[in-house]
Parts: sequence; C-alpha cells; structure tokens
Amino acid sequence: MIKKRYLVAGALSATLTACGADVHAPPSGMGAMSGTAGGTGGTTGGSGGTTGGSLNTGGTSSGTGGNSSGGGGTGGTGGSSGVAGSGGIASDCAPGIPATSQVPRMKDAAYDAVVNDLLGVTALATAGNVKPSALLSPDSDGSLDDISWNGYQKAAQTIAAEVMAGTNKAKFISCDGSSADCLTTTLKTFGRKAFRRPLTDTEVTSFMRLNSLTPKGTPDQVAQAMLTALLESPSFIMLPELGQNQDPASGALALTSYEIATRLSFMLWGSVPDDTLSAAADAGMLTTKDQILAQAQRMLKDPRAAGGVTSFLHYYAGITAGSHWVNVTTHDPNKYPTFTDASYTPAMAEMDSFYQDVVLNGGSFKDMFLSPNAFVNKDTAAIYGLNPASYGADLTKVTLDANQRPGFLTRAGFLSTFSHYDTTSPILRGAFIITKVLGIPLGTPPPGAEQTAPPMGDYMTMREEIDALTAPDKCKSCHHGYINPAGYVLEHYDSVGTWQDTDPLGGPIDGTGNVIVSADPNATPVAMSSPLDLMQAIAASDQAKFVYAQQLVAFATNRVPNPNDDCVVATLTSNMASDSYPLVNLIADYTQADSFRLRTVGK
Amino acid sequence: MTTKLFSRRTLLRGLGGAAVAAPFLSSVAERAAKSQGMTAEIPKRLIVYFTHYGCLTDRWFPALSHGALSSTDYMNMQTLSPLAPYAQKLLMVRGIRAMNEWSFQGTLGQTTDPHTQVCGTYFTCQPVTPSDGKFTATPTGRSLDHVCADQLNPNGAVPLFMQIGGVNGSSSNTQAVISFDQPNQIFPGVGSPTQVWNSLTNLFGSGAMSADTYAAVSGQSIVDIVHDDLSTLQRVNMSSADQKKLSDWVDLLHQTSGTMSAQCTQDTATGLGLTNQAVQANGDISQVAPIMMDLAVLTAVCDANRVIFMKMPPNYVYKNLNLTTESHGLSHRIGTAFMGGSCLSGVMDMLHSIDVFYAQQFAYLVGKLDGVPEGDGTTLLDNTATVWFQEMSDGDSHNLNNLPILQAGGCGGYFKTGWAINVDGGSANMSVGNSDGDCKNGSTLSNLDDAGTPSTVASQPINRYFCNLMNAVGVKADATGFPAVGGTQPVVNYGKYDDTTLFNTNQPATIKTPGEYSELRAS
Repeated sequence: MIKKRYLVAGALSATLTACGADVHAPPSGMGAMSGTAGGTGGTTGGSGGTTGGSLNTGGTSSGTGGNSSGGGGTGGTGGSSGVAGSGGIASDCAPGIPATSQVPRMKDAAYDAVVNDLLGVTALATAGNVKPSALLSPDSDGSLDDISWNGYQKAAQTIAAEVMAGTNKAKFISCDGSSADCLTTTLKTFGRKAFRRPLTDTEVTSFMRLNSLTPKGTPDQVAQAMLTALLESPSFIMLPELGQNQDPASGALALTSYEIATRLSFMLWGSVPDDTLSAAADAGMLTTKDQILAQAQRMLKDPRAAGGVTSFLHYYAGITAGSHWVNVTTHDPNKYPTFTDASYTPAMAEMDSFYQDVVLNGGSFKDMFLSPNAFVNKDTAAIYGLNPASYGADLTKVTLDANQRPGFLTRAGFLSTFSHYDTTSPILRGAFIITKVLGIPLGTPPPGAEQTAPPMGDYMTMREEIDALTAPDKCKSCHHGYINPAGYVLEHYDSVGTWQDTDPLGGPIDGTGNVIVSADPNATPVAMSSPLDLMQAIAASDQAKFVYAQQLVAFATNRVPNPNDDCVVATLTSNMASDSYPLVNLIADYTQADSFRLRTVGK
Repeated sequence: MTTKLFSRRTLLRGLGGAAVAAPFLSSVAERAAKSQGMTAEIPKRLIVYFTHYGCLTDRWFPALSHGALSSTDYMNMQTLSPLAPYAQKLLMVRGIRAMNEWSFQGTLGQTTDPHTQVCGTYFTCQPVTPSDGKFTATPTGRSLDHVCADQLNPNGAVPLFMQIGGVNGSSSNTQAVISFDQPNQIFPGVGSPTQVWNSLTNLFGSGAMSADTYAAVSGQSIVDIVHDDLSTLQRVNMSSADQKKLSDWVDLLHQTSGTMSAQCTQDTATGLGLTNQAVQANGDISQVAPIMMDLAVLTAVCDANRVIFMKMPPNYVYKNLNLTTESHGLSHRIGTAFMGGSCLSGVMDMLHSIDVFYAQQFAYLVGKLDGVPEGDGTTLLDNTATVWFQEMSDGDSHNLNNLPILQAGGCGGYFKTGWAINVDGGSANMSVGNSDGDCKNGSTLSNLDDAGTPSTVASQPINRYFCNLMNAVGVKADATGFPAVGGTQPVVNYGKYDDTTLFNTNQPATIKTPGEYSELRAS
C-alpha cells in the first residue's frame, strides 16, 4: 500500500514551535502550596463533620482530610477555606476576583431542567414533542437578536399554553383565578421560584395589570398570560447578580443569599434552587463559607447532581457541536462489524454514565483513568468482546479487564470518535491527551512544516505510516516527542475501540511508546508498554489534575482560565493530591473560594 | 427603499400576534401602515447560498466563459443542468478570486489553515488573527451579511444566517465559520428550521380582526412587563458589555420589520409547503435543506429580513447520496483530511454527486423565489440578488481563483442576466480548471495546484463583486467609499486588501482597484 500524505485541516496536525515551553500554570511547586500567601481562608474549622468528613478543604496544606468513606459524620478535620488567594504558586497566579457578566443567560440545557423542575414540562406536545430548548437559539453570550428573542417568547407561550391546558396546571396555579388574591399569591409563590428571589411589590403590580385589561380575560386566560410574562421576563431568562453590599475585607461586592443559592443550584444541578436552598436564602443563611459548604454537600447527594456532573464532563472533554466527539459517528461496516449505525449513541451515553459513576460514587481523579467499570448495551457490547445477546437497549454496568480497559479514555465513545472512518488516528488520540487532558499547549505548524510529503513506503501499521508522515524536522519535535507516542500506546484499540493485536495493514501492533506526561520542558519521556501505563501516569499527574481543576472553575464561573482564578485552581489541585480524595469534593471545595461569594464589576 | 417607517412587530404584538395566533385583517394593518406614511416600493434583498470545499470545476463550468448562456447550454452542463429552466435569469460571474488563499509557501495569503483563513476572510476580505490560530483564528472585520443588514434592515437588525444541518461553528474550530457580526466575533446564526419558522408565523396576518380580544391586549402588556424588568436592570451599575446586552434587548421590543406584505400569510406558507408538521420533521439533509430554503423565501415574502445567508454543513456525510465518507475528506480525494495519497475508489463520482446535489438545492431555491410574484410582472427572484458562493474552486488544490459563482436574479434590473461574464479580460474560453486531472492514476496529484487553475488566471478580486452586490441592494458608502450607515455614495471599497498577496504581510490597508465590475451591470 502506497501512501504519501501531509497534514492539513481537520487533522489536528500540531507541531509546536517549542513544545511545552509556554505552559499555563505549571504545577511545579504545588506541594508547597499553602493558604498563607495572600490567603483569606482558614476562618472556620471542622465543618466537614456534618457530612462525613469527606471534604478536604484544609487551608494549610495539601491533603489533610480526604476520608472518602463519607459514612458517618466523623472526620471534619479541615477548615472550610483557604481556597482563595494562595498567590505565587502558579507562575501566573494573581490574587483577585475576576469580573463576570452580571446578566448571563441560562444555558439551553439549564432551561430544560428549570422548566421541568418548575412546571413538570419535559416536551412540548404542540411543537412536535421536542424539549423546550429546541425552540431556543444555541447558547451564546452576546446580545439577543430578533430570532433568539422570538425563540424565548415562543417557548414561553407554548409552555404556558400547555401547562394551563394540562395536568401540570397546579404546579403554577392551584387556587381560584377569578380572585385577585389568588393571582397575587400565585405570582409571588411561582415568581419566587422562577426569579430565584422574591418579586418586589412593583413587579407584582406590573404583572397584575394583566388582570385589569379591557377586554377582560377569563381567569385561565389571565393566568396563562401571567405565566407567559414570567417566562419571558429577563429576570427569569437571565441569572442577574445585582447585590450591592461591599465585602469589607476585599472591597468586592458580596452576592446576596439569593444569588449564592442561584450559583449553587445552577453549578451543581444545572437548575433552580429547591425549597431547602430557597429557605436558606430567604433566611439570609448563605453568606458564610460554612453555610455555603453545608448546602453544597447536601446538594451533591441529591440525584439532580448527575445533571451538573454530566454538563461538566462535556465541558472538560470538549463534547460540543463541531468536535470530534460528535462528528465521527460512523465507521466502515466491512472493516468494523462490531460498530453499527446504532453504536454511536450508546457509546457516547456510556461516557456520561461512566463519569457519573465515578464522581457520584465517591471516586477519585485516578478512577476516571483507571476504573474498569463500563456501561454497555446490545449495540456496544461486542466492541468490548462481550456477547451482545446478553444485553438489551439500556446500558448495563459491567466490569471489564482492568488491565485492558482502564478508565474513560479506553471506552468506545472516545476511541471511536478520535479515529477516522476506516482507520485509527494516533494523532487525534494523542493530541487529545496532550492538549486536553494534560493541558500542554500545541501551537500551530510553522509555515512550511506541512510542506514536505512523507516518503512513499509499504507500511505495515498505522504507526509506521504516521512515523513517516511526521518525520520531517519541523514536525518531529512535537509529533515524535509528544503527540504520536501517546497515540501509539492506544493503537491496541482499533478505529471503533475493539482490542487489536494485528494492524489492519497487516503488521503486529506496537503499543509501546516513550510518552511525556509533564509540561516541564525538561521532562524526560517515560517508557510505556500498555494503555494501563499511560493511564496510570495521567492519573498521577499534577498537571492533569491542575487542568481538571482549572476546567471546573472555568465551567462554574463561565470564565476562561485566568490568573485570578488560577490561584484557586492551584489550591484545588493540591486538594487532589491524595488518591483517595473524592472528586465530588472538589466541587464543594470550589464553593469556598472568595470568588464564589464575591463579584467585581467589569469595565 | 422604505426604512423605519412602521413598527410592524410592535403593531402585531399589540394585536396579540406574538402571544397567540390571533389573526387580524390585513387591510386594517395596511391602513395603519399607510397612515404612517409607508410606501409600497419593493425592497431589494441579498440572498446567499454557500457550500464548502469547492467543486469539480471542469464539470461545473461551461466551456463558454463569456457570452449568452441559454437553457440548452445549461441542459448540457454536467453539474448545473438543474438550473436550466432559469437560464435567462442567471448570471455566471467568471474570473473572480476570493482573498487570502492558503498555500505551503504563504505566497497568496496567510498560512493559518486552508479553511479557517478562507472562511474567515471570504465575506470580510480581512486577514484572520491570531495568524497561528489554526482552529481559532477569526477575521479582523465584519462580514458582508452584517455590513449589508446594517443598512438594509430597519433598525439595522442582524441578518438571517441559517446553518443548514445545524450550527456547527464555534470558537474551538473556526474552519467553517463565515459570519462575523463584529471583528473577531463569530455570529452563530440559526440551525433549527423551527426557530426560523416560529419567528415568521408571528408575522402572519389573515382572517378576522381580533384586536379587541384579551389575547391581543395582553400581548402588548407582556411586552410592557418585559420592558419594565429590563428598565429595572438597566439602573444597576454594570459593565458596558452588560449594559449593551440590556439595551439591545430593549431595542428588540421596538423592532420594526419593514414593509407590510399582504402575502405574508399562513396560506403563502402552506403554498410553499411550510406547515408546523413539515418544519418540525427531522429528516435528512435532503429534506432539511429545502425547508430552510422555503423559510428563506418566506422570510423575504414577509420582509422579515432583507439579508439572508445560508450554508450547507461542513464535514458532512451525505448519506442521502449513499456516501459514507464526509465531504471534506472526499474533496481531498482520499477520504481524510490529509493531502496527497491514494485516491478513494470512485471518489470523483462521489464528489460529482455532491456537486449535483448542491446544484439541485440551489435550483430549488431559485425556483421557489421565482414563483412569488411581486408586481409589474416581476418575481421575488427578479428583485433579489441570490448568489451561490463556494468556499474555494477545486477542493483538493484549495485554490480561490477561478471561483465558481452563480447568481440568480438581476436585483431589480441592476445586473445583466442570461450570460456568463468574464471580468478577467473578457475571454470566452478561460480555463475551467483541472479537477478531473486528479486521481487519474489512482493517486492524487503531487502538485496540488495542478488540480486547480494557474493562479494568474481568473484572479480578479471578489471585493469588487461585493461592491456590485452592495450597490445593487442599496447599501451606501461614506466619503471614503467604504460602506457606512448614513452614507450617500456608491460603495467602491470593501475589506482590508483586494490583493491576496498582501494578506500575509502587515501592510496598511490597501485597496488597489476601487469600484465595482461595470461589465456585470445591465446598463
């Protein structure tokens, strides 16, 4: 077989001008982290005891707590803070609170969850039985345009009409709508949930004008118009942060208890606060770190946490429109009979289930990369060498060979989408691990780097072909140094994720590689001979943990990584030092950062 | 042209149009419109259809590059035969080069990425930054759709940009992003037919007047409630970006939608094949694409937008054509994003089938536009400039010269139709490219340029054609000759450079050849 290729668009052909030279926030020195340098934490202690002491929020060092059993209300050794302001850890960490938009719109996924929680609506029968967000524009941060605004209006109108005509009506109004008192009560009760704060008297008056129009509406018409108006309101569609109280220590503005409740519920559940959280907000009991922590711990045990966790996985792994995760959904059926047209969807669903399983069952960072748990159905079982006849349409949890299938990067969802239609792609897989998981930035190829065609040859393996392809000097340093070896170690998984010992080109698979898993430019490669070697190295990598924590903060705040947040990230990373530190605690720990309670105003 | 004369949307909301499907007498609306001084002048529109990865140029172009093209001529074309019925209304613009071509050497543009820089520059004629942002670079200026919408849409409302097959552009991969509302800011547009449909059904008028119903009056009150809420938020100290978000929202409450069209009705929609059921159907691309095109037509009929851009998806597996490899890999002839190597078996036929599919879709759009009468014997098509642009010429060579461009409709008599016009010297036998030279011997050409057209041929800047289009639809320039709101002059300048070799330099903005192509005009 003769091939000569050079890389162009879409092939993630990353050649670095100085591979690893410009690494964001290296983890070196992480072990020296403490809450002393500029830290404002350490004010409270022992609160972890209320939830089984599983939180490692100690402000003084890395990993004092971390009892992952979570069982009995013991423990609680750590203070609840020390998260913010540990300056000088990462190279570009700068204490401070970054500005964020005060009027962010709900994401579309959250819109669906909110409408379900408030009104029990999951699909709109009169709009083709689609989920409510199908009427909305894709998520964006800029101004609304006409079509986007129309989408919100149409969704509000459709939801209100269906609610008033159906069994969910009582979720909005449960009294006699012909009475003004009933309407006022309804407005206040439902508005409190929808706006995530009490309505002002002025607002109530504004809405009540719908009851005094000419011609007059029937009680149901008025109620429907009110629900429509509530759902079209900017205070519903956006999550405004308007509190004006100044934090004496920092000079920043403190979020109100209502705003804290909203941050908590949208971060942890992707939806509105429940009654308990709302009651805490009403009582002003969400102003201290301890109060926030207690709620966060409670909320993470709620089944709704699965939604927030899944959203974060998609953010972390980049499972978005236009990504490889969603673009490569089919494979050559002749070469890969185990992967049918029905395989892609359950393979991707497994990614969600796997991650939820790890995070919500007390798993740690290493479990993400080492757990042998898998979730298969009749359309994916064969990929893992299991008998499809033993499984139905639903995903079933199974335990695979821990040596052969360690963690989520050895699952079909990743392996089949970071491949081509009819071949593996060591470059795509390797680049994902280097850039996404380890956070080693890859520049773009310098001009001409892609120019030289590889020598013709009769390649017996994909590895040989990629080696030749990336042999020119300008490609070599990064491809041979970083990207390719990480991909080669996964060459035992074919284009759809099935284990292979022989390459489709005829040669034996060489799954060894000298992989660099550190962002330190002077790091030496580590010899690896199996996927397990690679996954163990990632699981132990401070750099990978830093990236994970950084993505968590970016996800929670809707901010790109920045020096201010990196101080928090550094401390969160140190919390993850222990292999027994439950990942779920990282989320609760983040709520202890100053930047979770405080805000600044942008220019 | 009529602008800002009548707040149609506000009227409709007042009648409850947004809240429910409350019908009203169009005659009432028309009276209201007339009382506000509206004229009946037919608006001009710009409609663009964009496809990725070029085509097999020597099957797409006719041999005749300059001269009259009859229906028979189109019938004989391998790719464009579906357009034959409209030959007299077509203008094939030959000799054009798009800006910022990628090459190994960087001689014809930046070296960022063969697609990122091309898509980013295409309608902006601006370089992309960061120049090493292979998957992230965006252009330093706004795109044509937004520049036109500024002036053509009442209140400068944003254009309608429909991504057939779903919104696919994001900041993490800019290889297929063509619309930018601000410098370096991606405009995602709309991917869902339902959303476009819902925005149009609000505008329908027909049946009995019902302004005195509760639904009608509550519709206006809800707008007022939203306005009150925004006003409260606006009183809080916020960043300028946040303030803009709020004020832009307030503006939407007062949005005007231009002239009132008596044809903007459910009946018209039904006549186009648009119903709730049809729009909500989740079919494959062969079903979704015509629906999006019907929605474009309805948008024009309702005058909901005068700038309508739509594009086919990137990296798409056209299963409706029995293909199993995505379109980008096919354009490289080998089935993957690599360049060079062994040709996929049967790849030329596969590419041709995609090209024909694209042509069929464009023919469908043109036919539908031509089916809407607009007075004086003209049709919607006649009063519109509807243009099929392609990302590049040949998809393997990635060349941007000798660009395949097909315009339909003379835009109210502005353009000469029924012809191919070669703006690069007027030769009648200019090269049709060499796409079929690829894969003859089982592997792709070692010199990619060999599949395209020599770079000195058919290389007149696209900027000037954009000037034609802007002038045709009524966009004005200020004293600099660049398009500007409030301007009164013809547009003679567009973009940063009109010489593709300057894109890989840091030279100051330079337009070497101002003006439009006079040879494209009817008179």
